[in-house]
Amino acid sequence: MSSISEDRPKDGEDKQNNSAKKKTRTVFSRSQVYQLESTFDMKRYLSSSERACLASRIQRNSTTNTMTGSNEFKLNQGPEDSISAVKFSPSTAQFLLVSSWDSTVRLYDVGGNSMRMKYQHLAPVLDCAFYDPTHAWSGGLDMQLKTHDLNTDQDTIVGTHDAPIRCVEFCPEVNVMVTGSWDRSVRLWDPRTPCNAGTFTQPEKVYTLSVAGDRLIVGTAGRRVLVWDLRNMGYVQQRRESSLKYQTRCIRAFPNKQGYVLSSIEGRVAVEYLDPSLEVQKKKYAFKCHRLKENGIEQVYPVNAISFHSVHNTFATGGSDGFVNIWDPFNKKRLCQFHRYPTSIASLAFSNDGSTLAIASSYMQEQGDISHPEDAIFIRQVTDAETKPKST
Amino acid sequence: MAEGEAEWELCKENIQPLRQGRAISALHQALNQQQEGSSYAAIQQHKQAFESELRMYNGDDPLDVWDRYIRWTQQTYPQGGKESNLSVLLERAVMRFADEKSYYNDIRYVNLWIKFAENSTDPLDFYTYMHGQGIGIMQAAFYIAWSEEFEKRGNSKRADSIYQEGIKCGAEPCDKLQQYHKSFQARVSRQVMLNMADGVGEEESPEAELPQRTSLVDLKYRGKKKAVVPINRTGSSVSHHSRGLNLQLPATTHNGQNSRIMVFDENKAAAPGPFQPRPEQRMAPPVSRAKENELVPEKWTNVKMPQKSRYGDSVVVPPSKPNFQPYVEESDQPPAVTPCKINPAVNTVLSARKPSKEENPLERLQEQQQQQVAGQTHEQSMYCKELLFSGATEFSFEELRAERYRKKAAQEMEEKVTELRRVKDELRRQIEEKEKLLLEKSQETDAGHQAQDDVAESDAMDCLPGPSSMAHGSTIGFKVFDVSGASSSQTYPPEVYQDITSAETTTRLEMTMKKGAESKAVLSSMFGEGVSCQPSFEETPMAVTKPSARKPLCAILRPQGDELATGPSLQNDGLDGIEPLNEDAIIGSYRNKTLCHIPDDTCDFARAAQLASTPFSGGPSHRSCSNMESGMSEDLCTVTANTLKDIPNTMCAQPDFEAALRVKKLSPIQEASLEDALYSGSSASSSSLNGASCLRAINLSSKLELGHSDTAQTHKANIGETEMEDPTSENVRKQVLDKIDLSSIPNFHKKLGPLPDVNEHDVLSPGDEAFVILSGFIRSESYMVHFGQTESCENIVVKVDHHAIPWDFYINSHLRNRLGSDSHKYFSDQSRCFLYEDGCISLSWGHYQGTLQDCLVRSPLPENVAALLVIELLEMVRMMHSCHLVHGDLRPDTLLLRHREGCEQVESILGIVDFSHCLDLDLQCEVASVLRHPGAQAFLKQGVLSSSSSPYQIDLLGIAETAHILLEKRSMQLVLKDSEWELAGVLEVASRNHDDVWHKFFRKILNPGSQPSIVVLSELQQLMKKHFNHSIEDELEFIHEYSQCL
Repeated sequence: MSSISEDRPKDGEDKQNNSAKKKTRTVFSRSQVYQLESTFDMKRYLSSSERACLASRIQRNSTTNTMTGSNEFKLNQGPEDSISAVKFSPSTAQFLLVSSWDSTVRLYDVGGNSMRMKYQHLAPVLDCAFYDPTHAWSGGLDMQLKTHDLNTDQDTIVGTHDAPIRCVEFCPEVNVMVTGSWDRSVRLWDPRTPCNAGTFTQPEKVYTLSVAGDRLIVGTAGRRVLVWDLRNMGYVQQRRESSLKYQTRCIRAFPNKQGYVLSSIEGRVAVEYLDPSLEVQKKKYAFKCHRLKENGIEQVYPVNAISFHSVHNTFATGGSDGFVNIWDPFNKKRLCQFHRYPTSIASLAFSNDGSTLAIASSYMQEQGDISHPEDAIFIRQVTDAETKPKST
Repeated sequence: MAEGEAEWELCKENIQPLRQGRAISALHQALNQQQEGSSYAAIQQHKQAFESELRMYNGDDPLDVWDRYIRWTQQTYPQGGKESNLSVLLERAVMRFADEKSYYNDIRYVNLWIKFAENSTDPLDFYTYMHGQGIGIMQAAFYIAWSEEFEKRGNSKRADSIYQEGIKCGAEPCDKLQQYHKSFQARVSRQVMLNMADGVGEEESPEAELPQRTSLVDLKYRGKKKAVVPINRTGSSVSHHSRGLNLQLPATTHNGQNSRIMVFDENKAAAPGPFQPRPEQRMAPPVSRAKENELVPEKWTNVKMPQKSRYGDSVVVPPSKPNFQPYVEESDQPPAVTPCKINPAVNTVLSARKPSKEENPLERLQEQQQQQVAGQTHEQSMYCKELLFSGATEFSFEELRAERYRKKAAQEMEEKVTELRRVKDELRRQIEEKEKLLLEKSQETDAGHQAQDDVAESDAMDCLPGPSSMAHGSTIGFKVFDVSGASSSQTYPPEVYQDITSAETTTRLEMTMKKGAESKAVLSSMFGEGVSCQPSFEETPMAVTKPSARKPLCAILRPQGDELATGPSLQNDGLDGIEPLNEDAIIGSYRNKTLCHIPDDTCDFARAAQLASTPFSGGPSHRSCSNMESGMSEDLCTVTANTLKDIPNTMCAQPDFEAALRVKKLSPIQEASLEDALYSGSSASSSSLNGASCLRAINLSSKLELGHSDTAQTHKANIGETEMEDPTSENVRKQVLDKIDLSSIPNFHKKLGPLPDVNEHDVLSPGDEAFVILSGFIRSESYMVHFGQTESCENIVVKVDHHAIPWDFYINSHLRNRLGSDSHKYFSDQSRCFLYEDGCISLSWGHYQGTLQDCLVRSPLPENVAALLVIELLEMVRMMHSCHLVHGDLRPDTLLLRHREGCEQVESILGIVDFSHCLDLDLQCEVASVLRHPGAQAFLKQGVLSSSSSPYQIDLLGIAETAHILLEKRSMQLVLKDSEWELAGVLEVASRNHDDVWHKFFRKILNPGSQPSIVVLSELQQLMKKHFNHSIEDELEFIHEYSQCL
């Protein structure tokens, strides 16, 4: 990075230019956000060099003051350690469930910007999910799967895996909870009893999973992708290989249940379809993202988080570069990019109605156990302009 | 054993040969594991451990981890194959250090390269590459491997030149290289001779006549999961290695038919001149071509479906089917596959990455290297790529972080434990002082015994860490129940739940009885709390408010079953008698709200604790000595209060403490697991004050954050009771041995009638063989140990025990079971036992010349001999400790010196046959401290051992004592200096130069700290061996001669 003293005069100069050209932003005042949005509406895209320059400047400024935009705020009483997952309540955008490496799962009242409740695991929690608006499920390094009644504040240990639990998801169609673990298995759990409803061996450690209707998409180590039919777990419906070259970080299914998006550790995202027919498969594609160019070297960041907008079927990706992008998978366009967050984006979650995006900016030790900006959760109100595909 | 060998024989095909051979035990284990499949998880865990070690290692020798990992893999996966991941592992390891020149001539690294080369199709490429890069050029192993490769191909000229090259370069070890060279030359000349004798044109080689594995059947993997080839060998297969020159290799495959195809051998044809290794300019090692499932260009019509259909991701499109039906041998079934409905055509579509683009890690490295050379990288990964992918399997960020977290957590735990131990030690010391004081007093009063029990109990409660003290809480709960005589049956671990509920009913009973005496306000407030703790008992307040409380209570109890329903009536009887005492304690407590905040009032607590731990019948006597006791317990309480002051409300006995505990301080998960303990605790607390200690115990445990299951708790709950008894006593042993079926052990005979009289020179024949009793060497009131001789002149040791407990025999057979073949080193390899009605005779085979003591009496030992004996002793005790046995009585009198003839192969000179004071901590797992062990009493008095010392420490002190006697011929005197125990005097060892060694030895053995005894023992062994290592064999020889001439 270039030194600050060198940058400063240029900064002011830029600002003047900005107002004239309506092109970039530095501080997120209301007017600027408005400007930005209109810029995005107009231009949709900034060239990568412009963006990089912008980003570096913003980062310097933003870590100290900012995030003052009217459409975004930081949650109070955040977890004490890194955030592993954020999930919105299935019924309302008011409640947000957050699991963290500080061994807790917290429930936030987003509207009131306060923590409503928290409960403890024995070890860091790697994922959590809502079963219904009043029941949270979570699992982590303690290998235990827990369900917590948010009304009575009581929890039950449902069962265990043989290794840490990496993912927890709920499948409303089949009414079953799904967990994936590094013990190379996926287990199903009946949320009513609650009890184990089957263990299914995977070829490798499970890194991510997602539910599309009654289909379960499991991403494992070794770049494998397995598609299971939750109604008939007797065999694997599809065994695939990730179309990306590097380790799978995240898989999320389209709300329309037709496909999924897969992100890799080296700045790429693939859009894939479940229907194995040739015509449909032809539509799949992959693209580069979350890369920054510095001194002629392209820095490639892991893409850690994906979240779908339930209405528009667009999705947001978050990378270790601290950026959040929203993509239109149908027109293969980026809809917008938010400002750079203090550190890596560890998790993203759209609320059920698609009005709010929760952004967990939290260092994941991807470059070792070093000092890093504070972990935080940002709640951002998103507009249709940011999330709706542009009809051409 | 025989079975295992047969099994091994059957699996020969599935065992990859290793240059250094295989440990047969590891092989057995690996084969067993394969069959069972149960230990799959264990192997995975081990693997994972290695993987994380690879990443977390921050020492200065990273190769070490790789080396160990690879060697482990080879041993664990004898069949090799894809599962083992060995080739990947080797590749990664070799690549990992390709840039580190310092490893180039490290034998481990060179061996990795050789293994890697051997796993490939063309090792020669690799050797030339290594030579070009200068890897291993100073290692004899490299030249040997290289040359053998040439030899295998029949190119003896080159093979020879490689040896010469190696010798020229001065590869180390030189003699090894020369030796190999010589034997190579011998082989070549033999071969030449043979050829000359047979005539060069000989068509049939002798090997061809030999029966072979069914020809043309390839070794296909069977089974879905395991790579196991079928056994269809028709004769002894011929190893190419063992035959030296392999010129006949082609002939072996053609079964003596004359339809032979001439194979062009370029090595022969080329007739090369003297080989000179060209300096290679390759940038990267040759591409490994030995990869499994690699696509080799071939005719499509012959192609078979790829084997790798397991995951359905093999993407080779089957070629158009041949229009003939290929013959399939019956035994040749295709490997089973998980049912998979995917149309293979679709499958190609699904896997996006083009199969043809084989990503070779070597190529990647080559690229990388080239890039490095060119100094340009276009992309930079912004994460710790090398960490994620450095092992054989990949890791994700979360996994790496989890490893870091675990490491940190372990460290923190350790710190906590040491801190706790420190506190414990302090506490213990103070308690011991009190105990000493008490012992003095107890001689005066009759009630001393009881008091001591009390101390022991509270001691255990305070000193034991979390779970056990928690368990102790529940023990007290049980005792209340026991005492009130609700049921005559013992409260046993599996019935905890029931016990707890019955304890609760007791509580309620007591409450109703108290009612008359206590003010209503106090009671109702108490009940309010009680209800908050046990919401399920809402009826209770109702019952209490009624004037006649008993009837409704019975009504409540009835549904709980007969046993409990009959309980109350008994309880009422029992409790009525002692009501005043009971009330006294409780009322007193309620007046002084906080017990230990006013230390003067702790007598209530002490009394209540006494109440709980002693039978009610003991009440009066307890009162008579309560003065003294309360004084002591008072101190105890304050001590504990001090040490635990960081826990708020610890000593608070009021029920509101329970409420405080219920406030969400604990994590829910701890709460859940503690719930049971809490119930028992709360009930106990409301019945008598000792609930305070329960709760404190619970709180302490919660602080330790140890969630424990019911069974664990109840299991440990027995500690309090059993610790009261000498673990070596007759009763305890009887109970312990009842658990196991001795008669299933061979050579165990039960005899009717009483124990015969045994005197020296008697001839006994309890079994089918008679033996004569010779001199006795250990005599004690209950047993005697004699030497003896059987009819067949075998030397034995006869132990005549007047207790009918075959303990020695049990330990002996146990040692053999647990140690296997190692056991004969120090222990008897054969034993026999005759159990009579009032005693038993145990025989153990072995030829000894007498005890160490006898030997010492006769002449002094030179220092180095003493050292040697100590080393042996350490090893022997280590072996015992490794099977969780504590000898408990190590003295020169109990150690035997072997007779020279008794051990032809010089293995050991010490032996041990008497196990009278032995503890088996597997069986007697409740023995957690040395407290009642007879061997420990002297040390306890001195303070060297404390009541919570591990039983293993008895043996450490035994060794120290023995060593001291060996050196100084007197027992040791110990002093405490700077909180470490030291020898009082100066050692007058013969040679001054070993003074500090002995000093170190004694310091370590007397102050083992928190280290496990096995670690201490092996460290000590190392220490001793380092300084007294001049050829053990010679010393042994010497000691035999020495002992002979005595």
